[in-house]
Amino acid sequence: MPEAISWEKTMKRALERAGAENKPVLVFFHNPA
Amino acid sequence: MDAVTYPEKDVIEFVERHLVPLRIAHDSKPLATDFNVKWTPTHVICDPAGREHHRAVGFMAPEEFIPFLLLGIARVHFDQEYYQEATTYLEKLLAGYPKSEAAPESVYLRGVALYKSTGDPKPLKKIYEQLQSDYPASAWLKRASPYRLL
Repeated sequence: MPEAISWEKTMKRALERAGAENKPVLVFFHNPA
Repeated sequence: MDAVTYPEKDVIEFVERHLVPLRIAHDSKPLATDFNVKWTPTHVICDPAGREHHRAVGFMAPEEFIPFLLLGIARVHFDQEYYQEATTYLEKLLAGYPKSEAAPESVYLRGVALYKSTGDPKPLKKIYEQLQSDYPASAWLKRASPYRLL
């Protein structure tokens, strides 16, 4: 069984990258259905 | 968004150049709850500390999506009192997308950014004059109406 995605960790990584690149984060909430 | 807007070359290039994109299912906990997402698509623009500065709910075509992003980036800078950077993005929006829905708000925010960076009230009056001239049906004209008296 695949490990569940940790969205908190994913967001944390995105924010770290944003800080390093001095860019804002674009969060796109979508409905995959 | 996936069928029309995201595949567009200009959108891809803009997002890669100016933003860190993150795509999340609408029911992903705890982020969907933290951001109070109730409908899709929802786009949120945050600073690197995770603070929200701009949001839109609903479909946007490429010619509206890029100006939405430009305004959001400008708001990130504006809210952090980086007025020159905010003005740069607002100028790009108004030069490239003057007919977009984001344009009237950009006229307003650009004038406020100029006022806050210089202390000169003339840009506030210019907000009203430009909105009256170019965007007379905009709600932002009403918000700027006190500045006509300056």
